[in-house]
Amino acid sequence: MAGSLRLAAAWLLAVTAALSQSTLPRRIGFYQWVGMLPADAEADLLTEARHRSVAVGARVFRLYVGARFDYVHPPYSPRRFSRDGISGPLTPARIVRIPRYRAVLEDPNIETVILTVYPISDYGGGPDDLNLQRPWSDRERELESKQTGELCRYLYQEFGAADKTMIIANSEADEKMLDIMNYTGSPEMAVENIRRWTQTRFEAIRAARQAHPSARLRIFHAFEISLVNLRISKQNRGFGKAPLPEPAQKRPGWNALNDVVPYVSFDLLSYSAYESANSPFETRRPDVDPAETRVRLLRDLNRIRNKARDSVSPVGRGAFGDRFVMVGEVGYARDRFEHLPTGGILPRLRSALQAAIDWGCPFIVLWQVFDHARDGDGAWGFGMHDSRGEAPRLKHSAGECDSMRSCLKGLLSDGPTAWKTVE
Amino acid sequence: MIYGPDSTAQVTIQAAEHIHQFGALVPFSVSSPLMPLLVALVAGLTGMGADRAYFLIVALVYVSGTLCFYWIVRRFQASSAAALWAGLTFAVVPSRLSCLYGQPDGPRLLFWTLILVCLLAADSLRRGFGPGRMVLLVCGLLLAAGTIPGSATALDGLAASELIVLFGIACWKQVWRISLVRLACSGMFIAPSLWSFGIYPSVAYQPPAMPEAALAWVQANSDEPRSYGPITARGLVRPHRGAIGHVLQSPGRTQESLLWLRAYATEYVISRDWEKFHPVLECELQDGEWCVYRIPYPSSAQAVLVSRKRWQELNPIRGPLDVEGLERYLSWAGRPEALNVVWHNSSSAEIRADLGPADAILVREVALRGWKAVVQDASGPETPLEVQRDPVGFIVLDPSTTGPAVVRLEYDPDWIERVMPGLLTKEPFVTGGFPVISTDGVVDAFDYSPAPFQRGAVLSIFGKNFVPDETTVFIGGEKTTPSYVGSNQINVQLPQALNPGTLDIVVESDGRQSYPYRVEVID
Repeated sequence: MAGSLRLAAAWLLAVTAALSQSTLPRRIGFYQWVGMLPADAEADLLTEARHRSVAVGARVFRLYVGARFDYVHPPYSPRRFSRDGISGPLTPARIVRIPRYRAVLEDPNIETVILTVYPISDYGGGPDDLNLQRPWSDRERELESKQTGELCRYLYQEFGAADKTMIIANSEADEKMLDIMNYTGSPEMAVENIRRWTQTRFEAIRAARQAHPSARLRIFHAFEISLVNLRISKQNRGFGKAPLPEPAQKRPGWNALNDVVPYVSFDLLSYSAYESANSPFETRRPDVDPAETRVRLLRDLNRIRNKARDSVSPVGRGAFGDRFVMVGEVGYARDRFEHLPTGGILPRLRSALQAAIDWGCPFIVLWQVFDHARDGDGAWGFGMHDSRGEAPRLKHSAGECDSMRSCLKGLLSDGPTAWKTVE
Repeated sequence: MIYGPDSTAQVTIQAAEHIHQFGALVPFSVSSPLMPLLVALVAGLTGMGADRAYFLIVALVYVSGTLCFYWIVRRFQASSAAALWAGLTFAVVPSRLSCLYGQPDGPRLLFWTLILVCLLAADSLRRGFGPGRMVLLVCGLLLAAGTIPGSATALDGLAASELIVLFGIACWKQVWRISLVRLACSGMFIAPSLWSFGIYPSVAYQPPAMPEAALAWVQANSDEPRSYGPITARGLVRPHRGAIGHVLQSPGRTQESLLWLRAYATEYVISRDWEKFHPVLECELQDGEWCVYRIPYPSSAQAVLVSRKRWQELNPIRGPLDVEGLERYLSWAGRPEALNVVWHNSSSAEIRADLGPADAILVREVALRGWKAVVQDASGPETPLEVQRDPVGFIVLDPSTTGPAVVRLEYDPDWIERVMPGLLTKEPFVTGGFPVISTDGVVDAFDYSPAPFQRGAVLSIFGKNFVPDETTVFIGGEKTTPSYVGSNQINVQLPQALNPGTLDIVVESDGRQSYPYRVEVID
């Protein structure tokens, strides 16, 4: 009997592994935000990033749809969108009509598009992302509801018959909360604004979905967080992140997982996984055994699931079951990790990806296709490609994959066994 | 052109310390290699610190130079008013030119030449009240009135002392008949003053000509071309252009340079100092040995919305090397929420903003005294706004209103500002390192837990630049003696008599104070 059970378990594992392998390109992809376009590039940053992502076999792609960056000019440039011939006020729906954006949605090689969307308003300096540093009011609610609804309607209208998944997400709610707290000094406003914004967005997407019951296109709402074990607490210079015991006893602390997730609804939860993947949250020192990455990420995915279970919509539950947490961002900066005595990027990335795959994350998004520009003191070198468009060689052993590109290409085409880094 | 002492102090002292530590043959390029060598030599021979040696040498140079200048003019002028005016012109014109042509340290130079003016004026008065002498005296006093309040530093204090002493000497005419004194003054003049007024200026910071292609590229790609940018330190750093310009153009100080460039929302910097910028910034265009570097920043807009609350909590920046102060400033000023500034002409602008209750407005224009502002919201007439000044010298406006509003700015300078436009701004002057309390650097000494702390708790303060035996801690303004001081850690006990609530901890080490670190104390 025990032998039969072992056989069955082995068979189940083999089938699961085979399924995982065959679906990996549908689950793993790249993000592109600001980046350096190679000098010999023939197109804009978004188009180049899409091509390079598809070239390694990824069928998931994430991009930003908002007023602050147009993939042509530098971020916040007053000239952004100036050459795109947009008539009327800038909105996310109008942005995705721009050919370089629309090409992402139309690309037959991309099955899942994750759109980091922010509604757009003008506070005096031209179009800008929704300003959440002021008390939530009908104005903000209408802005979010109207523009998200408009975007969904456009997507259903143009791509309703396509067998694609489009996910409308935010970017790291915890970072936004931290920003609001530091700007206003009010943690209560930060929590309240994020809750209301998220719920308004969810309802707008749900309403659009209900209006298109027969569409083949799947549109989901993902709520993205970045803190699991860390909290935002009041510190000497305003607010900052710190590991706090749970429940916080000596001083209050906030994060989206504890203070927003239980009070809102979404179809999918996106975890920007640097806290788990880059270092132990207790010390935030990255130079530890890369194999621990897996342990930390699995632990935190489980923690997130436990906290978020009751907030997942029936649609999300139906589509993703109990695996409703995607890794919305994961990546390693070459300047911080590649020279660590405990190993460079590849063993860490492999450990993180394997953990997310094994856990069953529906999507895993790597940050990012092209390096962003160095800015003095910030972590640098996340890209699969550098500013020359080449794939930087990473620490490896003889005969094994030696760059993000080669490793990802092997992983997506032949499965995890194709990626053999130093153990 | 001549550069005053404090603008170069930071770089020179840094270089002298470097030479003192590593030897003169270690490459360390500064504008004038003589001064660091001299400072290092004096510091090495006397055992005093580089900063004190620098002060000593500068003081000697200026005192001897001034004495000798007076002696020369006095010798040839006799009682001729023409000679007096010639002396005055010689004293004032170079400094005035240096101001007008935007050379660093115009204000400081102006101040120092006042010594000469006042000395000549006093000497003239001593010999009777003629109209020319009266004009001379009035000019001297007015220049002094317009210059001193905005420029006071430790060295200016020294100059004032020097002035008093010289005045006394001038009154005691007999002293000039002692040839030995004259001889000594002459000797002092020939050596250091030649260096000070001759050799040194000729090799001072003169930005080399930028390559045309790089300039054109920046012009074509710049989002926010403006008067103080975007390229050279010379045009860039008003109002701190003296000291900060030297930091920017020094071969080291990459971190400080980048912080200052960001503080001034600079988009691009053109440099041929590859060791300084190449490791940390992208060279977007290479033109021969020059590179155009882009400096990523949330917004280089001329006006942005900023947090009113944090504006009220900002501390002054204490010098061109105050990294902590700059980081604090940038965390407040580096906002992406841009506003449009519509300029009607060079002295009149309009800003339209949709304001939230927590918003103030940062306008990246030098906060000269002549700027006036009014705000008009939907509710009614224009209301005057106070034009405040942020730690780097830009305008901050706090309309205290919500919703759509129009802010109008007008520049209407008074006569002092017309005479000395925008140059009489304070340049911070600090040397050496301030004690710095690390972020999250105050913890309970027993379990390393963060605030809140109980009364009587023993705290460990972690940071840097703590000097053993010369460190005290102020807790809520009260002086407390620490039980242990290491270079990176202090242990100190909270007094039992503290009232619960929020209070500031300040470390004073070797006479320099840290920024306050705020903690909460509970029962």
